[in-house]
Amino acid sequence: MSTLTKRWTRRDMLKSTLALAGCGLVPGAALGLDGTTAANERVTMALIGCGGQGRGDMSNFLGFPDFQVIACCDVVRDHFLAAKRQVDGRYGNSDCETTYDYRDIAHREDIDTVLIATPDHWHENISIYCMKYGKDVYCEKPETLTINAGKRMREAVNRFNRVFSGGSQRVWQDYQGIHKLVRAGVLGEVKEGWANVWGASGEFDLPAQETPEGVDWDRWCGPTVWHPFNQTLIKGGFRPYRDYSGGGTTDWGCHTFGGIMFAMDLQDTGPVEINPPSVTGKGNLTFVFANGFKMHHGGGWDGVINLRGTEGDISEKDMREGKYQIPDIYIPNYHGGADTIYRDFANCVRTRQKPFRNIERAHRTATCAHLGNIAYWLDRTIHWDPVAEEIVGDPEAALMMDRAKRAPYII
Amino acid sequence: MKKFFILFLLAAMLPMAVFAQNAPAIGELEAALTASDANAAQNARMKLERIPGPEADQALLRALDKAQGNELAGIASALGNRNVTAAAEKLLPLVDSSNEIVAISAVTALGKLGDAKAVPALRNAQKNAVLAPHAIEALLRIAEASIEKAPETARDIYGAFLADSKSETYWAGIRGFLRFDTARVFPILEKCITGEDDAAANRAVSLLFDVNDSAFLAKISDLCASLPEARQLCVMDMFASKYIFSAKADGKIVPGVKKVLETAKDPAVLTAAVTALGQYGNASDLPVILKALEMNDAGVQRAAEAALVQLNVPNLPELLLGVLENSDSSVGLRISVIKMLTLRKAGDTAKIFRTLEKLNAESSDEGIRAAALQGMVAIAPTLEDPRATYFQLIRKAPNADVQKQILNAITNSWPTFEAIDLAVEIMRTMPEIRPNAGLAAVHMGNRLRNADVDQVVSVLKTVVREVQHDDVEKRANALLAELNKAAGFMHVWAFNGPYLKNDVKGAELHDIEFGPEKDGKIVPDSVEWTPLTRGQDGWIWRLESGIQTLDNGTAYLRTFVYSPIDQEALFYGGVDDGMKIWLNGEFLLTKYTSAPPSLGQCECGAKLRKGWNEVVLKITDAGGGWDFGLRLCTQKHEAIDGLKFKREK
Repeated sequence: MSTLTKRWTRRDMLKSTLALAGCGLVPGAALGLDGTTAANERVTMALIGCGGQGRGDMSNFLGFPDFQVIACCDVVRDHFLAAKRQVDGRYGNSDCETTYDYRDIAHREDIDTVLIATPDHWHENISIYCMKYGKDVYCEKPETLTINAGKRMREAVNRFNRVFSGGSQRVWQDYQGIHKLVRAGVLGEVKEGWANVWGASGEFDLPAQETPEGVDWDRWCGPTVWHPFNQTLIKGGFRPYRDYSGGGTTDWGCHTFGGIMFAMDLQDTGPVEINPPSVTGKGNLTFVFANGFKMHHGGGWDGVINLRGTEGDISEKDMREGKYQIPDIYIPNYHGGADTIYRDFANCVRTRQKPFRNIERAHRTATCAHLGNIAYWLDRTIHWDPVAEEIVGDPEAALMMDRAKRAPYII
Repeated sequence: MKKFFILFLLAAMLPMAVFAQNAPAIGELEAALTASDANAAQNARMKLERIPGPEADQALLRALDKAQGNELAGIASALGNRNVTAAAEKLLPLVDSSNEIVAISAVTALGKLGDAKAVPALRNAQKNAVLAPHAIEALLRIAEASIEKAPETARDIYGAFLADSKSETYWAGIRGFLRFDTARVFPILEKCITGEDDAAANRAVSLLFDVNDSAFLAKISDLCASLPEARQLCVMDMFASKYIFSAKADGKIVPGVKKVLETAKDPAVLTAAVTALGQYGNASDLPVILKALEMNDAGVQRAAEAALVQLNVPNLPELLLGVLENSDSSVGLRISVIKMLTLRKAGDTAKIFRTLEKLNAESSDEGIRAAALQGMVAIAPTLEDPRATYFQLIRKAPNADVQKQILNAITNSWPTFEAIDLAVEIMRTMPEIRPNAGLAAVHMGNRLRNADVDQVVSVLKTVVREVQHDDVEKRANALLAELNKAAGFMHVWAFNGPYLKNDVKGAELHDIEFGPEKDGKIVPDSVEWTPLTRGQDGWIWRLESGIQTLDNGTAYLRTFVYSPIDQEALFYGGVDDGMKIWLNGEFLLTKYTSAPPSLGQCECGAKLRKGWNEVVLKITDAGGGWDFGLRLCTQKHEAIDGLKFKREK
């Protein structure tokens, strides 16, 4: 029987454990008698993608008393072994299981949630596969590799009723001062914003190297075109290559475009026109929204976000350095009193609420970045219908909203 | 970072142009689909999958009969992704393939095609542990595709999922029915939301996001107050999430929200509820929000303040003044209302000021008196005579600490030459806060240095002479030294641009006409000018801070110079990388240095007319810094008395 039709095995098992507890056979700590959350109440998690980002994210969940990381997965053995050491060290045992194949994680009925921190080209496949098997998902940004990938992920979240949180902690935690300044009207009417992050990715050009032992290289390449091994890729250097990532625009763009869109209350829509530098004539690409707001990629003056209003302008750097008096206004943000995006997800797993960076917000932000890339790559203006979520009047550009996947890594 | 950005961009753009032009023909790709080289076959299928049109469909369909293993799985997947309905019959037998990947691909593709004929095969596949989750997904896809054209199929699929209330698919079934047969599942949702099982209740509440029936949402809102507070929080939080919910709920939820506000104790619930009220309420809900403003929780108060703004009540300042004047209003409410009234400085601020003045003088509560004073300080700049108002406030302040707070407020919110005069007057007449007043004058002088540097220098000299405080004197002298470095340089500018041209470098760009430069002439009024407010570094203006970071770009700058007499003068300065100068429309100089700015790089004579003269510069950047500095002086490089500058015509 599939896990989707019956997922209660672990809890059924734990009910039996509780019965045993009555006979005095289970240590008190496992039941939460020492003030911690009882094991049967803890949400279990597996880390998929055990590089530095994944292990950093995981350390947050390892600190939650109501969460327990029980497995780690990566296509690089050294990565999952490092994660296992971190987990076992935290719990003082050697129980954390490891695998090269995320499907082993998805198929386990005793895992409730997955933390996905693989390279970008795997996010969609693993997210959807795991949701299909009943897992809730925390997925690092950029959550998608293409615009249509985001649509499919949104469909899966809704179809399987899963809790999904994207992974940009900065939009609220780091940029909330900007949101408060804008929404309190301190800047007057804000007409322009700048997101100062790196540019779009390009073609793969790394030389072939011998694949070392302990690396499942075919699986690392996964759904995208196969290229020979090069160690730069497994050391986090994959973002300049279009097959694996949209580059700086989708990477930090998910923070900064997302931050600007949230500040401007544009997080549930998208631009209507995207003009590359050759069209703007100002050295930067510009997203134009239906209300006339312009968001530029590059070209700001200070920090990663700049906004200019009729009454003043702000820079993210100055905000970070405490140069503004931030108005004390309330903007709905994380749930259940959470102070981090990780806790927001953790709380929502229990309450089934939509996390702050829910799939809609993640997808809309990433879409903006992808549209920017398409305008860069084709070097012409792109027209976008943010309601239908389609590129208008440009079939060649519309084709770039999606990519074919390599078998067997199809969904 | 900027240079990497450009290189990165170029690296990204060039190969894409090649990629777009080299698409192979469909025939070649079809032949490669079943090639012995697995990578070549995969690459061919991946390219073919993205080529629109029936020819590619047919090529994939033909290959379905020949391919095997991963290649076959890929082709099946491609046919599903391309919605090739003719593929359904050929895909059905593949569901039983012994190759797991092929079978899963066929199941998934059948779901994407949305053909009800596949339902029996998919139900059969549900019995296979490996295929089951994929078959369920496929069935859900078919149901979704059938809702409009064949609702019975959708009803059949979703109905089957409702059979087991312990399964995950149960919720998928409910969600499905919410789209076309709400009568079937509303009672289930209501029962779950009001039932004992917290997990089921949470699942049910999460599905309310998919409910389009505002009457049902109103019903849930109405019964919310009787639910456990954790559940109330989920419902209220959802109503508060306007950006994903606003199209579905309406004002009918408000009575329920108000009930929650009356009964809930948990500040998180109250915060969410008052936020929801702000989203969906109207002017008649003002008393409820005012009550929330009185609640003893800062979070709830902040949310109530935000809700008040969100409500967009006409005459809000008048209504809030009424609250202040009402003797029944509590201390907490009055303090919050004062904050609301003075934060946005809307309405009849003179009347607000008078009310606050009265409260400050008459209230027996220290908190109200302090809030009223802060409010008066905040709105003083909107009154007819801010200087006199501030002076009165400082004189009447109860102690030196409050006086210092007022000085700080003036420095931050009203940095004007009038305010500097006031600070100097206070420095002279109120010895107990003399250093603070001196410091306020120094801070404001720094902010106003570009408006009238002579006036600022004069103030700073007064502070040095009269403040009698070492630290403040030191700060004033430091600013004087800094201004001295920039003395005689032009610091009042507006800009137009920047301008760039594809593949054109700075030196060449310098001689291309943009914006106000037309047919060999300068026409400044033909473009818009933006004040240059950032980027001053001594005598140099750093335009990458002031305008934007770029390489190979140019911009125009304009200022107006007042000369008390007709006189010969000298433009004297430096630039990185190129400068052009026009005076009163006459072209005077072009210089291209490709070097950091240093004095003497740019020098030319200028005939200043008595009255206002218009100066326009073109400053070009080839890479690295984009800086300039320019001074108007006598032919002997001495300062000219009586020059004034302004940005606007």
